[in-house]
Amino acid sequence: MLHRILCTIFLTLVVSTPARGDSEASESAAALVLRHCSPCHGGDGAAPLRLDSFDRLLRNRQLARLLIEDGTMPPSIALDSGNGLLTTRRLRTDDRATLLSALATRASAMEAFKSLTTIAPNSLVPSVLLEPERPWTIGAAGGAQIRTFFAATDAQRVRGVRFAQPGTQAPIRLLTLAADPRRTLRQLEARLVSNTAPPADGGGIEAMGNIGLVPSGALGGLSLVQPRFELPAGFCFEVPAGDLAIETTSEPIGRAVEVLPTLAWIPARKEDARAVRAIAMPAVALLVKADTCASMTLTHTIAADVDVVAILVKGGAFLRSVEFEVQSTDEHRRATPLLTVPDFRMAFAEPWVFTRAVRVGAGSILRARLGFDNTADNPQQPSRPTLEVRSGLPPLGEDTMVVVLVADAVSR
Amino acid sequence: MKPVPSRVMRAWLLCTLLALATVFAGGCASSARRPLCLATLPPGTATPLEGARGTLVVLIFLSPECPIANAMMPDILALSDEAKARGVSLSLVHTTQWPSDRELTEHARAFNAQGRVTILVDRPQELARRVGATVTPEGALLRLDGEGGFERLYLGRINDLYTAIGRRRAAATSSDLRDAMRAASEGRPRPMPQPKAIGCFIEFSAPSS
Repeated sequence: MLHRILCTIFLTLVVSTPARGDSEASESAAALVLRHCSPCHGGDGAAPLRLDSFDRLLRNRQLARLLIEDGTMPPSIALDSGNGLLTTRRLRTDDRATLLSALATRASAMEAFKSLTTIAPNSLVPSVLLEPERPWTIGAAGGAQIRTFFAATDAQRVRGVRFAQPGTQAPIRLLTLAADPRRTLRQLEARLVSNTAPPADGGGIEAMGNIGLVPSGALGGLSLVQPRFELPAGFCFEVPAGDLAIETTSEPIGRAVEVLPTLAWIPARKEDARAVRAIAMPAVALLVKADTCASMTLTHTIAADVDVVAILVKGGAFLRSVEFEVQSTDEHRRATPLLTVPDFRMAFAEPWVFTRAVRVGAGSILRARLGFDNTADNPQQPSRPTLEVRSGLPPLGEDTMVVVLVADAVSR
Repeated sequence: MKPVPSRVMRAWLLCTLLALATVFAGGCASSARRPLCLATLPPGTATPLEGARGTLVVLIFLSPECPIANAMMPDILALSDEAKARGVSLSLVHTTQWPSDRELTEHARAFNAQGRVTILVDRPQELARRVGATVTPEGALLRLDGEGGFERLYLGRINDLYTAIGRRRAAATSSDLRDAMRAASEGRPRPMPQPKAIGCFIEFSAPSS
């Protein structure tokens, strides 16, 4: 009798207790999608393929599996050099395995993601928008194009910027900002319009958004993989009253569509007191002959101690690699790598923000080694046969610039 | 047992031979072959695999939510214009199950395909399975055999606008489907290799019984 009771209890426990590993794995896969995929492919994201619901995830299951398996997704083209990149998205090995297992079959995906609810965009439109007056229409075909807009802004301290109407920013691939307190772009556009009659393709100017020596990117930037840019805690941009120069790099999406970057500031908090400024390192007088590769080294000597907060790299189809390092002034002249991008792709570029600002002493040299590829083997080569490439606007020019965001050092 | 009269034997032999001939000659026909019939947009029907022997047919498999397929639409429409000039039938094939006819019509309008190219709706995914398409966008060039079958001359990418996810050229430097179509219509050997299509996978449902 006792034996029978014990067997019954044992069997009840075995049958009724769910397989612990399975239920944890199922929940983890959905949580991983929310953490790693939804920021770009869900509600407020800017990625062109939406994965913001159970149905959409199911019907793109195989593609998602392939891209996670080969490391393309989540996109993270920069290597972490040890300072910690705020936006690193590399999956841990076990997390990757969890996702791949969940995506292995339609049945496993249905089970793993059944709790995934539709992620709607944030419906709260901020009260203050940074929006150009007129959109520009990009054609259905062709390569990347730069178009710079302006939008009025009040003086304020901000921590960052974000797309104000997320999910509607196609076909913008990269967006960088600079302050234009004297409204030079507005005056330039007015002059162009008065000379040529309102341009058929709309607002903005086909030019880069640098304002004199101030590079576009001095107030941060946004991209497909980073629809929200924020400085680390403690830092801010001091935005002067006037205009904001909004440089956009857009790619056609197969049909003519309006480009109208609509942004919102992320206000600074009281403790975000350290002002960030930009150091521009442009690749000037670039020349890459047809069917060749070339390299260029940009340097900048630091005059006074600074903390490096973020690095933006703007590049086109011909930029293939970036190695950014700091060479110290100590007797060993050590070179410390800060950012390495071995396989640059504009589609996955983003402003790279450090979790810990990097102290760079006076006299140190910032060095950026850039690799360019103008051969037929360049997977983004636009020309056949290849043509000579010079500094200039895309798609056939190359306008690479490295923008380093720094703050004056405070004693630690 | 009485012997069977020879004329009865001859009649029996003749009937047997006739029956066998019918079975072998009309074995497939006797199973009542049904042409693959698909819905079209605007609403209608089409039988893309029916046609005279030797007819060239181009099929381009799409999905309205695939950004790569959408980015290629100008190139696809240009190819459609050339196919028309060459007397080659070209159709766009939506082989995903989820979009409604309204959504597909809106997609065709937005991408300037409405009224310019035949659009087939392959929700059962039968055409995709028969041709072997697995990705959107993917192009197929077929030569019909006149009996609902075909020889597949090309299956692969439309062009090299995309070399990988996240790698896009300003303009394609090779147009593989177009080259295959030109070669076939001009009686030249098909170009090799046939590069694989890059894009979004077609999620196939369980085959219908």
